[in-house]
Amino acid sequence: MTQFRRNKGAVTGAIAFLLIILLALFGPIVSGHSYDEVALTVQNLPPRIPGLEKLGIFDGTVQGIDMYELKGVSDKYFWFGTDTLGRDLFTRLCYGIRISLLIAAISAFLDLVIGTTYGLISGYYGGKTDLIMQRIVEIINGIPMMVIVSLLVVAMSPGLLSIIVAMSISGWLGMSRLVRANTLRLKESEHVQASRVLGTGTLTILFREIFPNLLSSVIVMTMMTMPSAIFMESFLSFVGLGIPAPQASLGSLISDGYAHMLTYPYQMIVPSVFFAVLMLSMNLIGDGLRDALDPRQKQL
Amino acid sequence: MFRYVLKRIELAVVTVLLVIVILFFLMHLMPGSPFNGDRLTAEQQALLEESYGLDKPILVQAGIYVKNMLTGDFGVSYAIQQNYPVAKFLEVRFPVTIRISLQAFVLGLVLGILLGIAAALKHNSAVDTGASLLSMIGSAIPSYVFALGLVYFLAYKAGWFPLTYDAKAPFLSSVLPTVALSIMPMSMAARHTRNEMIEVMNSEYMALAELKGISRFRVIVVHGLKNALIPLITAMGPMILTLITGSTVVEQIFSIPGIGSLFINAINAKDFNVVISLAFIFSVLYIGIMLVIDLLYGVIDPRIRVAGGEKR
Repeated sequence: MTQFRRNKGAVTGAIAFLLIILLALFGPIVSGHSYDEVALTVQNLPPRIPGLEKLGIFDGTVQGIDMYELKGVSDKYFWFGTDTLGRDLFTRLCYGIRISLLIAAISAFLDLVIGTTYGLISGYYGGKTDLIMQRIVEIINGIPMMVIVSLLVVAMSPGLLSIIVAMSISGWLGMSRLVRANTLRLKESEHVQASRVLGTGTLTILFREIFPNLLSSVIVMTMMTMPSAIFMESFLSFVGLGIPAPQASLGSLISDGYAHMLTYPYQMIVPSVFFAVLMLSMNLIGDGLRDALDPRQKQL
Repeated sequence: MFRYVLKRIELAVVTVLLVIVILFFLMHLMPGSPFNGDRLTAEQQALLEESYGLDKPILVQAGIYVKNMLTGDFGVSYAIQQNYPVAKFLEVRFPVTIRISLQAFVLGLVLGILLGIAAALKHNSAVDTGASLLSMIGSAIPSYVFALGLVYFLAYKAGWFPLTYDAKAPFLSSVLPTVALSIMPMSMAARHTRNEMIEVMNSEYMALAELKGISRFRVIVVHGLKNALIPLITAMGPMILTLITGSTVVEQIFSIPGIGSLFINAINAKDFNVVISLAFIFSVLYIGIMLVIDLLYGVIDPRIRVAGGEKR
């Protein structure tokens, strides 16, 4: 932990990550708008933030014209503006971060469960079992994840559930390899041999003797899968297979904003910036954890 | 060596066959038929399905499909451009994707290696920190975010480059997508080169080379770089994979007439044949590249051969 704290990048990442989580949790409460409230009177308003507007930035003007006054809503503040249907972008962003983080968390959890179990069994039993299981991994690994995920989501119709299912099918390969390689090494170690001689059951050996020794590399690996899950979801949004409206994810917000990039640039820039910061912070935390917990694990 | 090559090729072939079968059945799970939306009577629909061979038993269809795929017959498009052969689509669009991806890959690799060397030689200096920061940012943020930024600032605000792909100016309009796509390989290459280079520079044979009085340039390039770059070959697999995924979205952003944007359009239009064919192409491309990388690595590093392709 001390080593993690000494790593400036990791600490910056952790702080940024915490701030984003706080924003996602409490943003909708303080914004005073709802994420799916359509209001045609306030379409495409630029960002306007109380306080900052006196400095000449985020003051709700486009080329010197106060859009808020033009639409007759001078009393309202949309901190990050509104989208083409007049929905508050700040609130949608908070919900988008929530969904993206939820996808990351669930896929990390599934990765943890499937990948770890698969790797433990494959590595511990060895022989034919290992051979067949590794063949399966190699074959799944031979198909680009993008292809698997997009085909599955098409087959199951877009939505949160199918995105999660798709990612849990292909997302655990890295984890299973890591766990298998370590299990192969650990099963020959003395404490495992000893408990086998004492007649301990296989399940107990796997989860009480071997797994705890893998914990640090598994944690690091999980931290690395989360950003890739978020990325995959944003990729799907761009393909048109993302979270269906009126819900939003960071990916779908960016791809919506991209459609109106030239006329209303803020609609794309705001979610892109948050997306970039989120991805960066998670990677920084992952790197920091790796350096602190598992320095041997080189990253590709 | 021969056994290793054989084993590796066998695995690739089996994977390709399985991919075709999996793709075929996945596609059959998909909701709707390409003729759903049309105002057709049941008879007309049956006739259409018959003419496309969609009425045969599914296993027969699968068998025919595997044979056709392997002989390069990808069938015709149902929806994007009716009855237009998918192979023709590929003929026109594939070179565009390959050209831009290759440009991005080479550019990223060269810049990344240079950056990595600079960072390793000035270890723990401002250059090193800057390079690390750059490669951190580059590998964390997806390429399409950079693409969006480049379009907005350099193409729209500054007007230096075309907003969308212009077939009349293929080079100028490929600059921005190339740069956007090259950031990821650059960051990965820089990080790898730096770490390996630092390790190599501290090894004893490097000290010996220096003691022998060989010029610093020769020591770094001939003795150091050669050994530092070998592990980079294994990193190329993931690099190419992110490049393929990234190019799909980047092509969509720049409206580049490549296979990535075709894939997206085909998914949206529910054009089964095109989607399957492209998924097949992506997979074969990926499997082929992985095969080449593994064989190359087997040639360079004998330890891999002996271990029978087991590597961590």
